[in-house]
Amino acid sequence: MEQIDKNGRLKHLLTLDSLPQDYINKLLLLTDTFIDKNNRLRHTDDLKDKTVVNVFFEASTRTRTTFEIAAKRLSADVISVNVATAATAKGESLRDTILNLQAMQADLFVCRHGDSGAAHFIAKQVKPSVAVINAGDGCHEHPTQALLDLYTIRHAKKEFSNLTVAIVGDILHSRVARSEIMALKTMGVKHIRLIAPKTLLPAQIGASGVICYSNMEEGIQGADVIIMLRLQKERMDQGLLPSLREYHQCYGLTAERLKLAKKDVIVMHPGPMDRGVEIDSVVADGPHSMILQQVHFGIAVRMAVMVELTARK
Amino acid sequence: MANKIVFRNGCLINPEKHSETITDLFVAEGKIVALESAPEGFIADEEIDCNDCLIAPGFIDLSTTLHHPIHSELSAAVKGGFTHVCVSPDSEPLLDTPSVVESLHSQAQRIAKVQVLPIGAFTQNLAGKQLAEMAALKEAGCIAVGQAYHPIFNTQLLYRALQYAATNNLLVIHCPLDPGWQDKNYVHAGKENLILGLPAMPVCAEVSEIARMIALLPETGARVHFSRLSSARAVELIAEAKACGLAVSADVSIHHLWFTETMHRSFEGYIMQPPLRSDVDRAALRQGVIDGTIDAICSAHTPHEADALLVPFLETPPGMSTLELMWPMLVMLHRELDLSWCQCLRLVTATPARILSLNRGTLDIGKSADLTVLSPIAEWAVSADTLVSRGKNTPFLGDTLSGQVLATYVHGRKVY
Repeated sequence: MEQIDKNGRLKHLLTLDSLPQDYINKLLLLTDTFIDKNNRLRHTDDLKDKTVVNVFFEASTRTRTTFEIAAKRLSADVISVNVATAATAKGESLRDTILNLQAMQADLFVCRHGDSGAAHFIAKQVKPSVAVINAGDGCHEHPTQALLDLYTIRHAKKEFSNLTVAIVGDILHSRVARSEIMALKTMGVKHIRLIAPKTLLPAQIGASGVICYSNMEEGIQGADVIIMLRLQKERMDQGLLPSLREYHQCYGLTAERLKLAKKDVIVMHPGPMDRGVEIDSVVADGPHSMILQQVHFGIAVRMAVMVELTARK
Repeated sequence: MANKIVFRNGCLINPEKHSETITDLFVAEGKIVALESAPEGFIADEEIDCNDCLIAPGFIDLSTTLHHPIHSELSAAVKGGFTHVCVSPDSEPLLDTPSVVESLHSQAQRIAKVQVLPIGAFTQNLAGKQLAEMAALKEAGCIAVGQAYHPIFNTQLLYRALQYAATNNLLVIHCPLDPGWQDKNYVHAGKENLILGLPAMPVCAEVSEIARMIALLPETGARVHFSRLSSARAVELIAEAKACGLAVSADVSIHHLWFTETMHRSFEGYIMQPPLRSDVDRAALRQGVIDGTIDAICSAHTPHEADALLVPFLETPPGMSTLELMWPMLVMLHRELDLSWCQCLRLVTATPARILSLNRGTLDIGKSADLTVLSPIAEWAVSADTLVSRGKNTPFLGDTLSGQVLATYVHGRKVY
């Protein structure tokens, strides 16, 4: 599924793989226009008379809400369908669900699904005038999260190329990490470090030009940006980790460990956080934390993406 | 009905004898009665001009999955040049009782296309808990036993099942995959999947199962054929086992000789079991085919209805429809690997026959006239309409390929 049309514009946002740096910069600049000088989100009518449908096949509060707010700030009609408890539970296929919602005059789908590749599949089913935003598919990608992280990093650090960025946690299952690594590489970040036990790193990850650490202290040494990932409880049952306690001991971001990073390090987390597991409260709520800024910027970034995808028509 | 046929001027491929000769072939009463010149008193009922064509023994497939209704697939087989197909035990219905096997046989007889060779279940219901009635399955016509991709967790049970298969002098056709990885769809744990983030299966999932099986062979006396290898290390392990004199053989699916993990970019292509792996693995599989470590090529034919594929990538059922594409793919391999026709066709004729102890796979006088007439150059367009199989799940859909099967004969009778 090709997400760029023959004129080089985004039809859908499914992946950050091979999205050029210029295009990412353009989206970040567009994001700027939705935040006023008092750091408040603007209200526009860019999506007036458009219908945005959030189709979430996986439970989500924060991402769905930020997309809803973004659409409303753009004056779109927005509806959220929690499919986890609706049609597909009655046996309707994903394809039929999408075709039905499309028949209700949807212009833009925002989709989250537990399977990698689901957003590509949905984009293949819809008609050419309908756009699809991947709001997270399995362990594949979560492009708007990576874009908002880039926006946050740019806000704090101004430029990318000399940064050392450490991503800590369950890289293997993280769609955020996959999008993030691609986006950071595209933006020219030279030092991308992944910190995790081998059980939570994808096979052959070394081939992707990142450096892997299984020791947290070594990994965050001198980092400009630390991105913490959420650890799901089911990883213990899958034999990937012995216990939350041991995980926290080895990979939890404590105030002590944070001292190893640069003085002006920023700490980010895509949420939802598990305090006391991957991150301590003093860090999450501390001066280096950009976690709530991320949420705020997330709305503006999603506004930019929605405008970009619908302006095409 | 013609029972005396002469095939004129075809290039006869007799892989066992390494011979490729342009000559005439004479068939009477279902058997090959002469080559080169007609036997005394031979008056042909039918004469077939085979100029510019190859005549090869009918293809023998080591791994075909069938779902009801089977008519289309048996027709697809002969259209693909096959005269014999081994039917995987995980077909529908499961081949785990003599009555199911007999019913498959009688259906196939009524359809009268390809000869089916059922692979009986190794354990009851393929559940990996209790031995299947292997003696009865053999009596009912099973050519071998196997478990397809259903796990046997308990090594002691596997050991006993091998002993029991050996007792019944039954070949075990084993698809090597560690039981822990048999629960869902996987792709290769390789570079491509760094982007896709799909559930990943490392090579060791295959290698450890081959190693487990090999460890059991000397003490059980079983004969094992490893089907559908996917990795370089698997090829190494088979080479070592053969060097030790163990009774093992191996095949690879034609797909694994052609495609790699790159097929899945942007969630395209078809999920395979085992996964399509790296280009290094593919190179080793190809080398294994050239040097004989890998004895045969199978189709791994797994047809799926179009509806089954209208789901996200990860939920699609694994496998591709292949029977009708075997010959054009062999033509591609012949070019790519610079193999002779004999080398190429032996892998789907003489060696599968040898593995199955089947008195087929040659064009010698006195043998059953199971053969296929092939054009290596004729082109055809692969489309939903030209494929007879109900499964249109092939990446070649929409392509025009060289290599067409012109006719297939089973026991001297034209079935395609």
